[in-house]
Amino acid sequence: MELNKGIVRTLDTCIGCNKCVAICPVTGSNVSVDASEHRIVGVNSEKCIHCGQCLVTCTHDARTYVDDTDAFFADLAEGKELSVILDPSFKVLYPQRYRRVIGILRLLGVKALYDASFGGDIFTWATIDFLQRHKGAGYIASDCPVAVEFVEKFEPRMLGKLLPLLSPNMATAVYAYKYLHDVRDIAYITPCLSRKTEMESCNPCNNMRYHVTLERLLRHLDLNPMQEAPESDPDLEGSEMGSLYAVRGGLRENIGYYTGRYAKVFDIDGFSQDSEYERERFLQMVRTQGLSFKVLDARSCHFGYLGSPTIPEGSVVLETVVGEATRLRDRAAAKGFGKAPKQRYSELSQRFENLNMRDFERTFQSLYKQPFKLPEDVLDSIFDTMGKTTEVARNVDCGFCGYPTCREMAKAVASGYTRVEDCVHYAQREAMRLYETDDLTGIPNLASFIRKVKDLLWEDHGEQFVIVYFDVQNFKMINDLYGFDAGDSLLKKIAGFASDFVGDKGLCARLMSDHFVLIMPHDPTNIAHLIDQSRENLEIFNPTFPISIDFGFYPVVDVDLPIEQMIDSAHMAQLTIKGSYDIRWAFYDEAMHEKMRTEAFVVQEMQRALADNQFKVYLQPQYDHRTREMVGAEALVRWHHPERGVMPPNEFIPVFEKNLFISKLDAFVWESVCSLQRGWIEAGKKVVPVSVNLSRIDLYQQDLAQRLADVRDAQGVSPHLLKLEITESAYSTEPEQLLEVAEDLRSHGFTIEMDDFGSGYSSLNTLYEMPVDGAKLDMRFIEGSQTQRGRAIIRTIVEMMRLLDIPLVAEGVETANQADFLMGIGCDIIQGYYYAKPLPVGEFEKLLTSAPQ
Amino acid sequence: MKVIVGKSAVSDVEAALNEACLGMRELCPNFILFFCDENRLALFVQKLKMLFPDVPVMGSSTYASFTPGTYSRESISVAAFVEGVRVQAGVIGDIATNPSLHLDKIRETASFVGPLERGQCSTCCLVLNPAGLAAEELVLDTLEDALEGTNIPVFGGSASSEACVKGSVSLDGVVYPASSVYVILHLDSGKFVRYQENIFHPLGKKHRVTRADVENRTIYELDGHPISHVLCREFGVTPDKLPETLALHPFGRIAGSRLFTSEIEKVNPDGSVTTFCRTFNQTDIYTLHLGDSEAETKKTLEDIHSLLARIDFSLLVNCYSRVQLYEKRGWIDTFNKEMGTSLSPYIGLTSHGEQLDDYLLNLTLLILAFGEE
Repeated sequence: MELNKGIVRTLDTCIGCNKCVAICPVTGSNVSVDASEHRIVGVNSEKCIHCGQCLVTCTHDARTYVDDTDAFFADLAEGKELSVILDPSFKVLYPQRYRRVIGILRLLGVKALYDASFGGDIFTWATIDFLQRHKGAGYIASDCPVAVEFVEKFEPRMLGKLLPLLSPNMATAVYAYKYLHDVRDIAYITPCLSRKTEMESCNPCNNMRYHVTLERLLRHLDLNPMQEAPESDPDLEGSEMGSLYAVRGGLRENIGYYTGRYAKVFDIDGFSQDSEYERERFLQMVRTQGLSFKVLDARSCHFGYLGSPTIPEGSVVLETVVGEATRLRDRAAAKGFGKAPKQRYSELSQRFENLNMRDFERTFQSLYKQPFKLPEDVLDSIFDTMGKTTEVARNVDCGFCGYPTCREMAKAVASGYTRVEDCVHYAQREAMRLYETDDLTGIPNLASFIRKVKDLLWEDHGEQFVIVYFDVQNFKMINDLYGFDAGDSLLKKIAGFASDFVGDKGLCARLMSDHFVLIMPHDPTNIAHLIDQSRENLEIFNPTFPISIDFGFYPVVDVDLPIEQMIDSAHMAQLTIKGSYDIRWAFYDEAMHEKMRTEAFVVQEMQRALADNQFKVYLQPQYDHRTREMVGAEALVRWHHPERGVMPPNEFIPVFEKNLFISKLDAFVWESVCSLQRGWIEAGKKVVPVSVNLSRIDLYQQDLAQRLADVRDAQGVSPHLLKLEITESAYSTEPEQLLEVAEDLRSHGFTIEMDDFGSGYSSLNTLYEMPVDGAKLDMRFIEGSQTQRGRAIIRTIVEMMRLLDIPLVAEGVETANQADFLMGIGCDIIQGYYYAKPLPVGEFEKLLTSAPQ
Repeated sequence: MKVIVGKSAVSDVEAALNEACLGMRELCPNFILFFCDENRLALFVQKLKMLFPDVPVMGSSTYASFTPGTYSRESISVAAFVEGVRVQAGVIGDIATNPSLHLDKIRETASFVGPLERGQCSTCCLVLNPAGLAAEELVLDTLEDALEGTNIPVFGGSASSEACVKGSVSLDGVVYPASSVYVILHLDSGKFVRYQENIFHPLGKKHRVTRADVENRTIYELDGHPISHVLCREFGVTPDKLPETLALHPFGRIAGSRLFTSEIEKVNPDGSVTTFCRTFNQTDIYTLHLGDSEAETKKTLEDIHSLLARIDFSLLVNCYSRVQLYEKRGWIDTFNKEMGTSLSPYIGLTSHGEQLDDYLLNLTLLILAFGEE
């Protein structure tokens, strides 16, 4: 099926509105296809009968046609000798231009011009002769090429009923060739689009070469104006009756004029145009072969050529056409006045007595291809695809697709003429499905789940529901080991299991990756079945790789809570068992609830707290136990909330680390500490180095060292006064990143201390690899200092640090015994409650200026 | 029912007929069915009509003839129906464009059979089509319309030849290169069973045909993607290897509980795939894989024998591509031997398309077995 290769073609402006499908008198001529960005309707020339109605109907200027106007003028310009046949409609439609255009064409080099009204007279003569010789009825006039093509392509049983006579224009061409011996190629000027197909299929003398549409001829002449040409008449012209083929009822008028029996001919006007009644009447008369009339004169266009799709709207005035037709009739009546029809026909016959009737006969060929019979199961399958599963749905017959019924559309889908997406109801459903469905598994997505769960909970079922959040343990390994197809297959299986499990009692959805959620009635048996059956179902998926699922349950207590929050709660419960080997499920409880509320509070308040200066820097002194002199301090932060009072760091620091707000808070501390030190310097007070914390998040800032240096330098603080503490766990989890950052910081003059030394697993290795300037001994070892074994370990660490020449600070020292022990083994610098707790700045400054303790 | 089967591989037409039809004339058969090589078809047709002037003689060319235990290319096989059947035969013309013109004639031909119960299995329509015209489906559509309500099932095959995808059919002394011939065959007693053997199975993926030119039997898209992309991905091959891959992976169409195999004719330069059977849009197809042919043959014979206690005659319609595959793999003799010991007497057509009711199939063995339950 080649599209847009024939006379009528689709342009890029097509938007696939299907108006052309609706107006087209034949199925399969307009074919819906995907273009680069959207759907368009192409023209299948195998089916097209070239009535051109789609050109008129299209409101998007998306249909055009091809003719030979350009080739005609180009060949004329090259000096090729050509003749022209003018359709008689020219002088009826444009009486003022007819003779002038003939003059111009002569100037352009056209050697001979024939008006096809001459062929019209031959056609009348031959038609009457044929009808007199053939007694049957129900013949179909053959001068409308659309009617001929329709019968050839779609009504092969009627082929024998077509009058086997050349149309007026083709009769003129034969006459010119055989009787005037004009062997030149001929251009046929006509408003009729489908004459081109006639020229291609029935061209007895092979001299009709150029199909020149009247509209394009006139436009060409308008665009290429010539010097004034003398008006001229054609070299050959028929009678007024021959010219009447240009208007509606031309054949009937001719038959009546020459035989007196007007009733022999039945007219159908505009059967392919937007006239359902005329089209159906034509089809019915042709198909039933029930014509009681001698001849059916079926014309594709309304009002003869006036309704031709190539005539631009408004370029022809109806009154002009009617006036010209009336003038022709009057003149013909005057010429035939006083003569009986029989005498008129006798004179017509005498005029053509030298012609061989056979020269003006033609044959027709069947272009019919029996359409495939569509099995009902195919139509059922298409209806099912379109979601039309009920009789009502299959008989909506809205016509938006361009087909009169849903069934016709389904047939067109099967044949490839249209697509299911052209059904507006299918498209709407599909859009909704895509919006609400997870593409991979086919179960609802999060948006759909939330909407449906709201509805479910608002309906009073009299039962409690539980939200279940679950995912696959080590799902990434399945993708890595068995490939993404296997992973996708598992997800589909889980989706199928979840969907089957909840049935019509609940809902399920896939959120992302291997994360699913479902809601179901809260019943212990139900929950136990869910856990057990999931295990049983997934065991068979891949026996070599055990699949296990982690569940988090949130019983719905308050149906007014946002659904997203309920899902989060179930997720939170599930997260509590992550990493556990044997626990596969957990329920959400009040502690989690409280934690979540605190977190929500922290997140809600943090920005305002920073802006309102609610975060306060506290300083915890570091003393040399041997001299009892303060040698440094660590900066810590406290949140002075106006309603909650002083909040400890463990309530907000973990939250800030999760949402990255910690970076802003750290920056605040750095600036505050440097500013304090500037103040001490300016006041001539004692200045001690202060350690500040760098969070793991800070380490990912590419310009960290420069930012810190800028803060320090802005206050004119000496580099040795600001020490940076990096927690030991960061060394083990981000070694490469940290190494790079540490070197950068040191190059900017900063001192780096390893915080919480001894809390991780790779301390010795870290000490070996990382460039650190000091370390802080984790308080847990200090706690062990009461035992002999603990003391031995601490002694070894202190000795090792001494050998490595890494200064050590012991933090969390609370008693004199601890401090004395540390001093005794060589660790003199002490931080802890033994000396002082973290102090507000004012108190710290007092301590700083007092005498050594 | 009584059917006599004869065969001959003698090169002289006269002598071959004498051998193949030995003893048949004396038994006054009322229907002759034959298959022979394309080169001698016209001569055989002419001579057979002379031998049996008052009997419908229907046949076609075949790439190879099957008779019990033998399989040969340059040969003729003849089945003479001598007892227990009544037949009416006819010709369907205009098959490539408009076989429905012959609808009334087919109805008239079938009218000698009285009303049949559904599943009665006493009357069938046996049709032989010329190959290479892509007309089988139109003929089947027409037969379905013509036989609607009669409960007469359709069974048939397309003629084949050694040279290429073409083949002619014949009825009553005339060779028809562009018409189909058929016979309405009514059993006075006993029954027939129709059996369809697939050696290709739907182990591959199911695809939805989303763009196909039905009339030209060309599929452009599966599942909304260009068909060549989909198939190359499924089989893990590059586009240049697709034709040879698809030669062993035909398409399967499911209708109800039945699988209909569609062979791939060619992969077109634009990546579309043309098959030998029509495929409608928005229907599902499977890519098929070759199964265990010996096991299939065994199952076929078991199934037929479970349906018929005694077999009087069998007609085999065996796909040309299947025969070639069996030849290449050295299975053909084993296959024919198995058939010969179980389904005798029979004759077989090597076909360029198999027909069952309104479906055209490929790569399939169809068996029409007559006998008693």
